Amino acid sequence: MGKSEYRDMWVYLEVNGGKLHPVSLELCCEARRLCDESGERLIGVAAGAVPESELAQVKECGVDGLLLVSGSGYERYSTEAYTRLFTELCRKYRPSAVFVGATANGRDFAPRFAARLETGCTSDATELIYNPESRDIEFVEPAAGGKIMAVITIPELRPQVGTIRPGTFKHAPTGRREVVEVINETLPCPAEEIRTRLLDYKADERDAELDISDSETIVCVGNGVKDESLPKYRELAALLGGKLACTRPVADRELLSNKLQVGQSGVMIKPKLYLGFGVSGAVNHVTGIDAGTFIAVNTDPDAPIFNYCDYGIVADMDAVCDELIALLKRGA
Amino acid sequence: MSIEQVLPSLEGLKVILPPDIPSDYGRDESGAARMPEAVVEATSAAEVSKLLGACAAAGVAVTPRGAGTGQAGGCVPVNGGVVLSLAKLNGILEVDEAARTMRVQPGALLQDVKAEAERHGLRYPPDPGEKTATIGGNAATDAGGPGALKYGTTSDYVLDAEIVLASGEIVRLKDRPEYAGVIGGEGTLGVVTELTLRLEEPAGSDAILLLPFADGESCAAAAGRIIAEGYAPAMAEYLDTALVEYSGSVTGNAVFPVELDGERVAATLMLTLEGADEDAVMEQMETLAELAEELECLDILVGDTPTMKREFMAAYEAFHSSVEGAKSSCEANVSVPAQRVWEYMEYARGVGEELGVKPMFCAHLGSGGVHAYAVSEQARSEYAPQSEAFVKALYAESVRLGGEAAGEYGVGCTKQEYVAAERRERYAALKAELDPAGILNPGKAVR
Amino acid sequence: MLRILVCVKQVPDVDQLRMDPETGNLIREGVPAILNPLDANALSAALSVKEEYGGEVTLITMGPPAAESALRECLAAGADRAVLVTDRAFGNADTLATSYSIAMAAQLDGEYDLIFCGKESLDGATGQMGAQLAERFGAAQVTGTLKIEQVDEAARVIRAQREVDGGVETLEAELPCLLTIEKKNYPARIPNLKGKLRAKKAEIKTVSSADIPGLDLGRIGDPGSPTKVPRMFPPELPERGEIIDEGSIEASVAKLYSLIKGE
Repeated sequence: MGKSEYRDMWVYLEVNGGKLHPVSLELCCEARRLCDESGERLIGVAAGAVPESELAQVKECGVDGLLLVSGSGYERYSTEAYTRLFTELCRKYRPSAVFVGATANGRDFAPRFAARLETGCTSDATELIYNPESRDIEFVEPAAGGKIMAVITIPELRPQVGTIRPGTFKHAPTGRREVVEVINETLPCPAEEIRTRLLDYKADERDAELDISDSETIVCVGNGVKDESLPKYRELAALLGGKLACTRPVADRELLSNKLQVGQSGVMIKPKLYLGFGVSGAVNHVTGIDAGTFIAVNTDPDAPIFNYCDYGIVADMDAVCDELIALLKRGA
Repeated sequence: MSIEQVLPSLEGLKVILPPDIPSDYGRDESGAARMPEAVVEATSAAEVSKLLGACAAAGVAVTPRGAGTGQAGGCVPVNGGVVLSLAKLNGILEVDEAARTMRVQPGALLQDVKAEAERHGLRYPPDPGEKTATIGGNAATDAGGPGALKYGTTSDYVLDAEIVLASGEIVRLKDRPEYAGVIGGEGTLGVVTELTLRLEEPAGSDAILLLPFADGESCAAAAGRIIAEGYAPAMAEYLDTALVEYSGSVTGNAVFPVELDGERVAATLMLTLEGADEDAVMEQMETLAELAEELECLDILVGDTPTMKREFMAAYEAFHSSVEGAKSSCEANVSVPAQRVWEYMEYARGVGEELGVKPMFCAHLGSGGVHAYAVSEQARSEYAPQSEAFVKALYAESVRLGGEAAGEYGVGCTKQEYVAAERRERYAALKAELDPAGILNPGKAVR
Repeated sequence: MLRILVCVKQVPDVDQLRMDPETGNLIREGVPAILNPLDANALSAALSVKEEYGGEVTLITMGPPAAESALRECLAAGADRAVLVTDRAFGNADTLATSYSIAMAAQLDGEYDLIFCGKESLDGATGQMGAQLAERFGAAQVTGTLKIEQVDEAARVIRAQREVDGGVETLEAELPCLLTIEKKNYPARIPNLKGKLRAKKAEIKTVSSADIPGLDLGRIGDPGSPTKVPRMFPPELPERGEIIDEGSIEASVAKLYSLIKGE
């Protein structure tokens, strides 16, 4: 079957405990843009019970339709049920693309149903481009540790499956369509197919220090940080009412928890104020930052970070940190 | 004798005066602190010469400074005066691959010197651990590090230097070999404005071995035995399991063995073996395995992949940072004769018990450099009396055992009382010749 | 006896890759090939299972003949045997083609009860391999495994903790089961000298495309890979931000401070 037989872009609507995961809305907004360019319809796909209030939010993102699946097997997440679900739905409806949020569960089933369909799956694109000539989506993603950008396409097969990190795209709803078609499907997953059983679930003890995704101010240290200087950056973060974060090399040095790692393979952040100290500006770090005001301090005037900042200071990071702490204490 | 007298003659130099002097210029990592009356950021030997000439005439103290990463207060202007920052005199001027030399200015960072050598397929071996120190600071303290066992210290790599004397005169070390003491002189005998360093061919292949021991004394003794047998390890480090565990609790991964087949490891000997190629290193390992029976080590673990070696070195370097991250901590870094390392550690444990300080050790077994660390959950002010008494006792003991309190971090202003008398005399003669007015880094003494 | 398979990969040491400023291509020369670091954690978990419940640990990798060194490294750390899937026909494979090739090659030696993978590779970093291999093996899967609590060979189940967003699940999964391993509780094993010497001499089984009966050549290598990389380009730098330089650090930071306060 040629790829022209496949139409419509899908976004998987992930619902946990009656709440829609924000990445689903982000993906709807981004896919809306792609559909406008390709002339395809945007369909949100959900399984199990989804509260009307959550669906309303999805509609605001401009979906043309909702594919709502009911049946046993979706009470909680399982690899088998979701792999089966998307395999069957794709065979029946033939979408051209399926976008899945790269949550723990999204990353668990998306590659697997793509394999069952024998189609291609990409992960962690930071930019999506619709190519009108080939009618392919170009998934642009940092490769080789962010040293280079690679364009990935799936030129022959459909659907094009992509998992996308939460926070990559903006939730900027463009408004409800006049008509939103709702398709109801019943597609139970036989219990004997499910081969994992949930015995227990423990929510992480919320260590507020380690939860940087919603912090309004982030003080981020890069590989230039000296081990012994960490306390002063912690102090600076506290004085600014924000949190301390780091780059991958710092987490690799095990100076700070990898939960504090900002970027592609870490946490995506959207602070009002970001201060990067000794951060070189690797692509996979900066693509994880959507800051109101972006400030960079580095001794190397040629560090790429200065290309991403609003304001930069070329100076010793510790000296700047000390001075800023002194000013904040005086000003307080 | 005041700074005001000097200022008019410093035209054209970058001078920073209060209140614009950043606080960093008044301290290093030792805790010693005093703000200077002026900072001069030099960018050439001529500028250094101009400054020293003027200060010598006016009798104003000059304290040279690199990156301020020192552990002994060497760059802290304890008598006030001018801090001469060489951080901006930081060019790497030339690498001569055929001659295997590098010309470099003192403000270049050790990490950049090393990286530049590697880019040319060569290496600069001295490595005290702190890669963001300046090469000038390394030369001033004659820095060594774990590799010193095989490769010696910074002075072994200085082929020539451009030195500005207190008088302002600029000389070259190769013309005045009698001034060799300037390297290791902690900036009290002259200011180095350029260094010609000897570089080496890198080893074709290397491996880091871990030899865990059930008792510490056997571990300390093993290194001497291995060296006596003709192995030339580039490192032979005593890793106290208490320190391995503590550091592991901070970083989340101890890396080094704590227990082996149900047996508690007391200490681990970390050895680096080098050879022309993989087979040559393997051969050394195999013969070492025969010796290991006698040494009574529990096993021989091998790290010979880039990932594993990196992991070992990261865990090793985390010792220092994890200690510094504690609520309260102290450290004493000394050197003692290599065969007396165990005796020194036993003493430290004993005196620590009396004072309520629990030391953890990391030692360069080949050269006798010993780092004793201790951490506490007490507040700093509460811990200070006992920890300071502990550190003092250790400095004194190192001298008593025939070693040096200066260890490998220099004497600076924090360890002066522990310099042996004959050393003081030898140094005094050179000091009188080179800096009769005593303006260079006053308040410091050297080994 | 548990039959345990560990899938590993040799990767370039990404941290040492540099971009050629002239051509915008990656300079691969002189960059050492290493065992994918997270695969060492997967091996560590597999060895823990073997130590507690008994079993045999087989390694499998697909790559050029030089990938043998990654296998020897794992053998030294305690794995029992190793299979190298190598053939030009397998080259340029994406995760879909690779998962097919590895599963076909592994099944030459029969079925496995447990299959371990690293969480992702240093170079591709798609993190898809585990789930796609599980599909090929028809196995249950636990991705992001924090800790293996129990293996019950008789009941054919494994109990494991899985890291999910915001919490930890405890799952019971049927065997055969594939697990991708988080680094935290399974630090890389340090081989001992005995292991190194044994690994040096160990025989490694190589498998080419011709050795696998029924292998569909259209599903391996480049032809079997639906994802393509039509182009690469150096990351584009946006315009430089405003550099604050007021002559001294104090003055510059004071300006910065007023900007922060003004926002």
